[in-house]
Amino acid sequence: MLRISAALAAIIIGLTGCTAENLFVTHRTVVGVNASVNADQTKGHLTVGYKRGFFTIAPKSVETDDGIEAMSVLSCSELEVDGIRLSKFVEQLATGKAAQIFAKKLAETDGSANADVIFGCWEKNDNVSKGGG
Amino acid sequence: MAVKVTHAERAYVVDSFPVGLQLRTRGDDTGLTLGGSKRRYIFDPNVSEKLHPGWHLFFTNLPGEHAVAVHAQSVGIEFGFDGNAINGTIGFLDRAGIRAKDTESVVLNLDYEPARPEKTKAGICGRERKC
Repeated sequence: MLRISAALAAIIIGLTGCTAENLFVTHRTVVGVNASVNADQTKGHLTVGYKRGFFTIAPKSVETDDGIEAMSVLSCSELEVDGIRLSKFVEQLATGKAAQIFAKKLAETDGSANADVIFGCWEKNDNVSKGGG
Repeated sequence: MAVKVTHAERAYVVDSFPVGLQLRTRGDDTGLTLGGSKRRYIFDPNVSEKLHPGWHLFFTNLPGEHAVAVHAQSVGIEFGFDGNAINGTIGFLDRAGIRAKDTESVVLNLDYEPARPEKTKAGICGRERKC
């Protein structure tokens, strides 16, 4: 069994050249042929055989007073797979204003805010980097 | 189309088992499948339109609001459009995930084990309901 566990704070991820407008936290396993192309038709991939992935895509399309920015996201993910099948998926997520407020609280309290109330992995994974923004 | 409804510990879970050609227009699972699939929609337990637990063969409308998470397994040919990309698969596909619009401010929690849907915990606020 493969276990993937990750705690991510204040993730700001974007795909260059992609005008994604949705945040995705996704697990995908393919056996066969899989192809995809982004909405702009500037990127794509082709898989023949077997592929498994777990990825987060945060859009860079949020309109703010300062222009277009990446979406604010606080995320904590835990994924387990058994063979080619998903066996567990735990996710705690805050986006947009909620993520910004939460990150600000963490910064104000030097990380001692009740982060584990929403983000259960916050205390479980003391060895991972933590931050806010 | 048959669906199985589970009122989980803290979630409303609907499994559907379409066979043949299925065109999906739901915003959280848009696409087309030719073959067989099992699609599980996990909703906040406070969703407004609920069916009784168990199997339902007819009148199986899913709640109008977006699911907290969607887990789909399919065999055959599947096309999906998730708002960011167009995806096509021939063969076996196991896909599970959550999504949120770039303009949304939401807090979301999910604790999901596919083998034990009755233990699922899911919640979202900031979308249809306030935090």
